[in-house]
Amino acid sequence: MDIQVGSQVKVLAPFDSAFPDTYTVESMEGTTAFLANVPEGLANAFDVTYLEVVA
Amino acid sequence: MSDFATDSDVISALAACVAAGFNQDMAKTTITTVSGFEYSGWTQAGFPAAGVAPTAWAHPTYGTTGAINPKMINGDSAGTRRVLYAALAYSIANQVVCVRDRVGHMGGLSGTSVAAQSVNATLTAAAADGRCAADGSDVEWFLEWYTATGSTGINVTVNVTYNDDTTGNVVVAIPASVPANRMYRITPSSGNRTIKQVNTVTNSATTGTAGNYGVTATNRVFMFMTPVANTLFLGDWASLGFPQIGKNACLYFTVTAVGTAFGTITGTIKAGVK
Repeated sequence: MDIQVGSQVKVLAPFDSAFPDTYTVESMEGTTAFLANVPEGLANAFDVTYLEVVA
Repeated sequence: MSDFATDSDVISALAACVAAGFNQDMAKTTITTVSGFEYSGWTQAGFPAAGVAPTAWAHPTYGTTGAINPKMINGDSAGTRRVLYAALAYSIANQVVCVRDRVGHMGGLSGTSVAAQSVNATLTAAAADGRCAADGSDVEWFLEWYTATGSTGINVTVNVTYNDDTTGNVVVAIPASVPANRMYRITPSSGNRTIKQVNTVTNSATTGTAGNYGVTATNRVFMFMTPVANTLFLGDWASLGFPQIGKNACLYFTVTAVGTAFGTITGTIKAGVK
């Protein structure tokens, strides 16, 4: 399933330990997805390589 | 290994520090900073000359351009080297400067790659010179910027080997538009483990600009500050904590910025050997 704005995603290794939850994609720019509500103090930009759609 | 044991040893070493140890004058210019961030003075212009961005992992020495102790004499490899005196005039009030041994460094990491990038940073050779503990227990690790990266803030996962030989990932958040000379700590993620090796780094996304950053391992030697700008810090062996520096040590300055300038530093550091 393609990642798009509104997708629910899991963050994959090697970032998974710091991002253990499911996140919503709030915007996209090329292959970079920006996630909503990431843990405080961390950045929200992920290449789609490190994301897996769960819903 | 022999070591300093008496006041007489200190006096003798100070008297001989030009021939065994070093007596180094310096005059370093400033770097633009942002309050609250840590900065490296490795590429700080002045005298001794500025360092350059490294490439593959290496252990810079007092002979590497950028070291503030190029006059260090490496003759007595069996002896113990300690900093005995520092007189440093500093232009910034209440900003702590740290004198570090740059135990190892590498550069050339890209801000646009999203693949794992090799670092291969180990401490074995530096530990053999007495510059740090092989298990990294006295080492502070940093990501260090040489050329600015892009306008997207990312996470960098640093794959490390701990002192118990397990591996793990340390996630370091990197804001948008990180400038040259900025440093971000690689902090062990759990327990009392220490980092003895850095294996790879992986960016969570492209920052938009490749830039140039790297991994640096340091061993803190001593810190100083002046409560009033452009005044003198004066430290002797006792007030400095009698810090030991290893054979081949590569000393340089870092600061935690309280304002917009790294500051200018002029003065002398003396080290001796027993």
